[in-house]
Amino acid sequence: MWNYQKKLQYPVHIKNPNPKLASYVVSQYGGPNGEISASLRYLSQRYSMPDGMTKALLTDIGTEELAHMEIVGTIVRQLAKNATDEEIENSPFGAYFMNHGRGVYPADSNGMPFNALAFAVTADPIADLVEDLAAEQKARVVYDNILKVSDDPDVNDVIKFLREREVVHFQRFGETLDQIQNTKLPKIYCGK
Amino acid sequence: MSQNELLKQISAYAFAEKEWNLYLDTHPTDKDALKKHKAMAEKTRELVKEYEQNFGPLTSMSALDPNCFDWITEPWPWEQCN
Repeated sequence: MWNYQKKLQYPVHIKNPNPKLASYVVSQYGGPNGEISASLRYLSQRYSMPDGMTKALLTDIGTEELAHMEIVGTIVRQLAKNATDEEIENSPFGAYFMNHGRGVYPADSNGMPFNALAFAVTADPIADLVEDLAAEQKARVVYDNILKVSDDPDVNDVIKFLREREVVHFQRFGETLDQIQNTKLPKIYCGK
Repeated sequence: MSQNELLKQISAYAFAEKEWNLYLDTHPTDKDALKKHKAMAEKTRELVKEYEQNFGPLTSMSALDPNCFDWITEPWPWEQCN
């Protein structure tokens, strides 16, 4: 089970409202490469993993992704909270604002609500872990894209932290895939 | 206490703590509830300590074995203990 800690994994203190940036960053909340997608992917795939190491890793990374979801939600809220109606109307955040106001809703930057089709569970550890490697890279690309269009240092500092975590997760997934391919494969296919 | 019995006790006291938690969210100045919540939280902490000393970590932060990271040992909660 889970327990909530009343703190962010990495602090978020954004001084300047920026609804345009909020409409981009929300993609990492509810978009296909976002943090909800990541956490649901790993926390769903872990049931059918073959050994303790892989079950632990998917549990731990899936849990960390929940903390990242909270960080991204915090960024969106802080960017939108003090934006004026006029600033919102003249930004891409306007369409989102009609249904969600200055709240945080799991959708991508096109307004497409979160969809579990963004990830798979095959119960095949190789297929699932290879997807996880790609997912970490795709999330890293979205953070790269946010850094290309954002000039707010308060936002970019947090985005750089999240981007680095994608790289570390990729590394750890690669190590478990290697473990399974080199040492555990016969066990998996011998009906353990 | 056996591992299963201790785990059952932890779940019961932690659940009671959670019930008082939810009640207190909407009744934050109920002194009687505050007292009961505290008692459930303390009992849960005590039982968790006893469990972890005997049967291994319930959270990664309490993985204490200096030779091997016993957090990764099986079974996981969704698996049947035989």
